[in-house]
Amino acid sequence: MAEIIVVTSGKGGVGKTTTSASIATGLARRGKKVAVIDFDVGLRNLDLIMGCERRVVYDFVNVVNGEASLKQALIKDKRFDNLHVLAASQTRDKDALTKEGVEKVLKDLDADGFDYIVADSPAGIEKGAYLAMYFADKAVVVVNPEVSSVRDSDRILGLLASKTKKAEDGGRVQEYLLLTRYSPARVEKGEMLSVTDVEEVLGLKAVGVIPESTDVLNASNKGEPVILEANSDAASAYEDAVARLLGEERPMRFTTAEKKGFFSKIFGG
Amino acid sequence: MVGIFDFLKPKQQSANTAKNRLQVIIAEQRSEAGAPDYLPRMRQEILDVIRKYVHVPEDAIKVSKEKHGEYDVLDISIELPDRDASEG
Repeated sequence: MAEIIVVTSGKGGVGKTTTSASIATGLARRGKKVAVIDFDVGLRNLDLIMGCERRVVYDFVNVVNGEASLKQALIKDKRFDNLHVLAASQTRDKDALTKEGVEKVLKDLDADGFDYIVADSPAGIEKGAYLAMYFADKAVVVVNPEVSSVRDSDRILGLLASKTKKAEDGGRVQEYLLLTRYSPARVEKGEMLSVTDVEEVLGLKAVGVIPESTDVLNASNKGEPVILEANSDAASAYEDAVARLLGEERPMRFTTAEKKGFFSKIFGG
Repeated sequence: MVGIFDFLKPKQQSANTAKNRLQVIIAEQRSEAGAPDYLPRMRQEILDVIRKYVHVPEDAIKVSKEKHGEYDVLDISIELPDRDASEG
């Protein structure tokens, strides 16, 4: 069975699409057959982050409506043959996706032999977010170490525990916390919530901590998932997170500040 | 500006404040999750009735629905002010 991983957060702008792209790419780099789906109907973005925006012909809604086959709509990644992108529709009709439609696409992907389906959820707790999480086996809740993001992710955790198929069937979606935009230096100064703070408040262990990094913007400028950046802490942190999602144990990296030398302490930097 | 006298400035420990605020709001959020939609309005109406007779603050009343075994129990607790304060 294909495993469905939803990447969600509640709050917008915390790094859901960046994370979806990197997790999907990380899984593909390990040889898994992966489809990553943009559930943000009306606001297509994943294609840009994956760098395939010029190759979108058919989208998710086209497939749901039977206007295109899944095969026609799946965009094969130019870096990995076993990685495919299903773009969001730019229609303004919010009801374009239905539960039945989504279920059929997921079943067809499963029948096509996909190992992982990564669902990139829209922000908010409206229908799009609900549909993205409904069929999930695992959920990666992306959170910034910041009050509004943490509170929103708690709302999302509540929804995962009640409004998903797994929950309705008496089971549980497996939840993972992923911190992004983490700044160890600010944490050490007492200006930013630490990993432990966020874990304690939400009652969930972090599967990954992605440091604040200029590489994320650079990667998105180029249309390349940041996990593929060479010599990048953010890339290594995503690679660790993917490994942990697959059950490997890895020590957490990039969560302590580099020690500043005497001169930079005095003169700033 | 990061500069030469930085170390003299008092450190801002705002992360602690953030954590405390979050712990309060999330506990409240979780207790409300899955609660019936009528609870807040019912709570307000009960408060209004009580206030006809006794002056109580907004947070003196707590209404929650809990599960005890196979029964759903509506738990209403009202904290009355000290006798001296209310009658004096």
